Amino acid sequence: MDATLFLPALPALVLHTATLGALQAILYLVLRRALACGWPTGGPIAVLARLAVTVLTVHLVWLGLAIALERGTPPPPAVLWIGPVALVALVVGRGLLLRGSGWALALADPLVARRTGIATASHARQLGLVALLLVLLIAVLQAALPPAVALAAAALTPLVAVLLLGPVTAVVVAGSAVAADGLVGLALPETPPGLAGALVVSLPALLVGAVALWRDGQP
Amino acid sequence: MRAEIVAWALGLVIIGVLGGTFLALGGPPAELVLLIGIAVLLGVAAHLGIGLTQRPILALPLPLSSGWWAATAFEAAPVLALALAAGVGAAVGALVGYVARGSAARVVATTLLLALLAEGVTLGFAANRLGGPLGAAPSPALVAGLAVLALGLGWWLQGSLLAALLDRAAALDGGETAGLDGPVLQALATGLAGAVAGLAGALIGQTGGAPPGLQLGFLLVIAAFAGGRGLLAGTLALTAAFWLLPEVLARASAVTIDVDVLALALAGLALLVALWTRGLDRRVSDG
Repeated sequence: MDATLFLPALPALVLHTATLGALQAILYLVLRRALACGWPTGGPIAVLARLAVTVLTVHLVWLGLAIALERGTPPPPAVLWIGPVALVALVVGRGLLLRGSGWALALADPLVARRTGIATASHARQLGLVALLLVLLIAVLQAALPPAVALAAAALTPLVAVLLLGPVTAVVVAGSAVAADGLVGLALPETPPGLAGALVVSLPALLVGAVALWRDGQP
Repeated sequence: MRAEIVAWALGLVIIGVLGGTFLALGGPPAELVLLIGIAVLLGVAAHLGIGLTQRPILALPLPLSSGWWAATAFEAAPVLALALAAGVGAAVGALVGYVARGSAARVVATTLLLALLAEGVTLGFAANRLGGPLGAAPSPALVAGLAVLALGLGWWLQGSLLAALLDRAAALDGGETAGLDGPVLQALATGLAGAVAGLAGALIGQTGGAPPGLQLGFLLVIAAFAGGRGLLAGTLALTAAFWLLPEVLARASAVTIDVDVLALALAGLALLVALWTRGLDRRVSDG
């Protein structure tokens, strides 16, 4: 693919792919919280198994939607702006949510929240609805990308970021990783998909690991 | 004991049905021996590296790919290439086991990242070395012998002192109060798993196949956990199903379903069944 064809639209593409990565990380964070609110008890392996089943289902839905969207009309370029707007709306919405009622406790520790009488199951349903909307939004946003970029943007690097890093860092790193994947996919189509993103996630992960090791060594 | 007998019977039925279908569809018997041999090696590797350590290590394709590279890098005799692959696989496996520590989520994330990087490198550099046998193809007798040896190793280790120590090290305190060095024990188990996975990688390489990537790592973790509390037989049964089914479907020209999607759907189903039967909740000792 001739990367120069995309040069005029490069800033918008970078912003779009970064938003896509950030939204994927937010989706995994929302799913993780929804599952924790729905099933606050259980061992860590059961928690991971539920997350794995959910992630698998999401990927199968994405595959199905990608096929359906390819058969229909591709989304107009204006779709590129939906992502950043949705991202801002999510950040503002989270800030507003944490101000009121039992959401802060339910999101921080669902087990304690349930013991204090907060209906975490209803929180889980609402978070599930947000996750469903995010799945649809991400599918539409992916369909608006050029094929080389869409292929390169691996969907698993945001999951790694969410599992390894804190929420805010994970969203930023996931955005950078998917943007890097998209750029590399555009400029060097022969590069294996996902490699650039994995390298981008490795750097903060190594940094966090080094800091943890240094802290362990402190008296 | 009853669960183990059921799991062995299930494993034999899966291998029997899928193997019989493979032969009925015109598959050569020597290839079936190779497929079953690789499935057994993968199952034993998953049992040692994931089942016994009780860690969701997704990076078993890493020692497997290392074995693949080691066996295909030089034009050596099959036995020498296999020995080299086992050695390299053991070293890489031990390294992965030592690095993958902390909470279950951290182990998943670290090993997933390693697997992603390895898959990227492998996809980038292995493509020009595929397409035909890269060394002398292993004889069915050698493959069967390796599978039997690996089975014996897995079965013996399941009831060994190492398994007991690993079980203690999987407790919340990481075995510290018992004076155990959890990461070293874990590295020992994943080193053994790496050696067996390296052999599987070498067999795949010697027959011209590409080294499997991240998806296999995911399936092996599910096989080890949904296979039932670190049971060798359960892990083998699920690994055989995951490994043989796509090969059988690939031979059946009437079936046009995407086998990768099918394998992932089957894996999701196995996880759901394990969750539904509360088989995973018993692993509360995992930190």
